[in-house]
Amino acid sequence: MPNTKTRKISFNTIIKRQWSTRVETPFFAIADVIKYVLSLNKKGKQFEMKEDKFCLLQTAKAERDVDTVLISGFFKSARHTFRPNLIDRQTGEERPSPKRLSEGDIEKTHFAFKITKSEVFLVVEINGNGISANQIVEYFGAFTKKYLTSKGEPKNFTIVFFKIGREDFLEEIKSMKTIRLAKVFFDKKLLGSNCLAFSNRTSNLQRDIELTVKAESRSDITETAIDFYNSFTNKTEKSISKVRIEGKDRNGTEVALDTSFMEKLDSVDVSINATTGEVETTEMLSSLKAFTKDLK
Amino acid sequence: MWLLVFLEYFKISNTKALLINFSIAALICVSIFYYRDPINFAKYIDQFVSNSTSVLSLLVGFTVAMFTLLITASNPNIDEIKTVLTEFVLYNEKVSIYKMLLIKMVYIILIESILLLFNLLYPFFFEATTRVGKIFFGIDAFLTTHIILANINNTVDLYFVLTKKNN
Repeated sequence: MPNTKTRKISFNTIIKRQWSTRVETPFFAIADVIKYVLSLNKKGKQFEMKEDKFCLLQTAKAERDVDTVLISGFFKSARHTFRPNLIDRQTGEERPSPKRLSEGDIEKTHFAFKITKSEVFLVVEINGNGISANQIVEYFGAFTKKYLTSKGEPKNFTIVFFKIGREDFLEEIKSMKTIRLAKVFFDKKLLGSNCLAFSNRTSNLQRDIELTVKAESRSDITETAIDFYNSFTNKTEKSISKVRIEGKDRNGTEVALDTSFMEKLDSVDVSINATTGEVETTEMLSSLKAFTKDLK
Repeated sequence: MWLLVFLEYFKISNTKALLINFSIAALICVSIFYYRDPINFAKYIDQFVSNSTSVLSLLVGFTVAMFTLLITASNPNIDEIKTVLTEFVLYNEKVSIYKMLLIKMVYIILIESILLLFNLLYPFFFEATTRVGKIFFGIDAFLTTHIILANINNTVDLYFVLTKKNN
């Protein structure tokens, strides 16, 4: 058995979309929701998913920096109501499975949230047998409702996530079916001189000034997105710090492309536990944390 | 030698800020000519030139004082700006905020001194009623406005440096 496994990493941003106004803002309350989930008992943490699967947030640890919060942990998931006989590789002998129908093999899915002043990032390992970023968001969506109910507040928004593309940016833009939103981020130095930036007077502002261009309903702004990207790469406009494009890819999945993630690696080799065959949690989490370092 | 200071100043200045500065100076200059009173215009030019002499000598003194403050003051913020780099590049090296302020001040002192000399000598060489006299007055008014605006910007920059908010 090999000592390491290669795990792909998916980069996402978590956003809450208001029902009435459709305004999208980063879901900063995720830290409170995680704290709430961790305060629940094992049964309370469980969440039923489709295809006879369930999952629960096993653990999460928050580390605070000056202006960022990094929360890393893992989910446990299992497929229940599935108890076929066991077969031995060496002898070919079969025997009834000793587990109960309500039991399943534990699959761990490691994740890390990075909460900055302007974004909430979710970096998650891709484990086909575990849970996906979509299911993690679904999980937190359900528990956000419970958390708000416990506080006597209504939930009037949906939590959505955007995958962050890491391939060739221009090709990715061209391959998208529709682009409904393009954002250009300008450095806040634009507000004044180098001395003003030095004086820390603008430190209470978010890192960047954001210009959002939205498409009319059912129309597409691919050309504008390409123009924005060209201005960014040609450096004709030095104050542009990044460009983000949001829309739908060929499969109709919502995708966000961000120039900050263009050159990011998307897989990692992790040691596996010789007894259980699972990836080593400590190593996986430290790799995920390393991936979050450049997310700003 | 002097040209080098001008060149360095334009290389370390923000194009937009420079454009705004020159536009305001040009606008003021154009309005002086547009709204001029044809009868008393020559008299006003003479008044401007004589006032400019005292104003510019005051300004030179003020800017030199600011320059001295920057190079002699022992202030942690001033020590810090020596290491904080701007996006401007001079001779293949990024310019620090400290050097940027120094260059701007030297440029202002230089232009102010040249203007002072020009205003002192103006009555000897030009007649306010002639076309050449008016053209040179125009240049004088433009540069005076430009340098006062540059001085204001520099004072504000120094103010920001000295009053940095420490988190």
